[in-house]
Amino acid sequence: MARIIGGITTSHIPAIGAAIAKGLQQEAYWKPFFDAYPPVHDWLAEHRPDVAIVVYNDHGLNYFLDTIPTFSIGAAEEYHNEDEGWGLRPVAPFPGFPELSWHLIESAVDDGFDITMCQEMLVDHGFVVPHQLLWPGNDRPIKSVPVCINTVIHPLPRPDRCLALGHAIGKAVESFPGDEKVVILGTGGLSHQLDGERAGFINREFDLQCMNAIVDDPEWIARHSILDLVEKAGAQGVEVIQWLIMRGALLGDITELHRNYHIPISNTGAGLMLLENTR
Amino acid sequence: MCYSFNKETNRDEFHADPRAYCQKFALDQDLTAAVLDADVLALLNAGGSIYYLAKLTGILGWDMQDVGARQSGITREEFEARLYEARG
Repeated sequence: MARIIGGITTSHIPAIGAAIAKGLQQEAYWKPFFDAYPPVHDWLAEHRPDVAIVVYNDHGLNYFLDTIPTFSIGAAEEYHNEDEGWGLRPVAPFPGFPELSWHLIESAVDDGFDITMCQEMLVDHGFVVPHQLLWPGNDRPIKSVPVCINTVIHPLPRPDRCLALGHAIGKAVESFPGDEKVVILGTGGLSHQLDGERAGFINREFDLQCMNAIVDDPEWIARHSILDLVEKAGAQGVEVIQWLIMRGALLGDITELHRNYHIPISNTGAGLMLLENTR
Repeated sequence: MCYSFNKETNRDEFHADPRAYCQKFALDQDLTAAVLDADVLALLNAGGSIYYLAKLTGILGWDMQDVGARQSGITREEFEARLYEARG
């Protein structure tokens, strides 16, 4: 059976992609952020996962506001990035793994999660930036499965449902008839609010509570309502539900190997965590 | 309309004549005025989403700190100071 060897959380802010494109990683503003990633690179180099399941949200590239599925999973041979409207150059396509994608979709639907399947899917910075951060350069020795969550237009999925979806994904991977090593990425967050008079809201205390809870007590986060999360993490800080899906998929013994938290990256408290999953 | 700004040709067309571009999407007078003023709060109150409005403000060369400052009625420097204050 395939197995999930670990979970990683990371921000996916487009400004990070711009900084990478301009080679700014060692400038004073960016250095404390980028310097946190090499321990994760080392772990990935040592364990060499074959597949990355990437939990993220689309920000207006693949989906317009007229139709946004709550949960969608890509099932394509490859995934393309395109112009998102502010001039970032699109990056090379990402190889997919349709056999695992279909298995996840079928298994999750059988588990009661009504997934939208996408045989064509554009991937935006929410998916691209985590790849760039975790596998810098152009050589990415992995296949990817996008798991896209609606965090854009309410109603958003309940946090406890997200944790349960993670469990369903974890179970599905373990019943996949292959010997692949899988890493799952929970992307986005932590606290930030981009819109309205409350723009610029960052909640360090709540972010640190979430980072602790994601290791030992993910149910604590899952007991919050979406509106609780909007209040405590900001309107876009609700992306922490994508961390919950990642965490839910880790069904073994969890060891936290690395973490970093940095304020601000763009308007956001940026959290990086590496959790090893042992069965 | 903002979703159309994913395409560079559409951004160029907007830039050349913003009012005509708004007419193409049948925006009413109030919405057109809000777009021409880049009044993000008004556009949010009209039902816009910040992720799509960011494509409009991107055409103007604004990043999210510029957008945040405008919404809060403060300078960019004051907005950045607010972000750093969150470090505690």
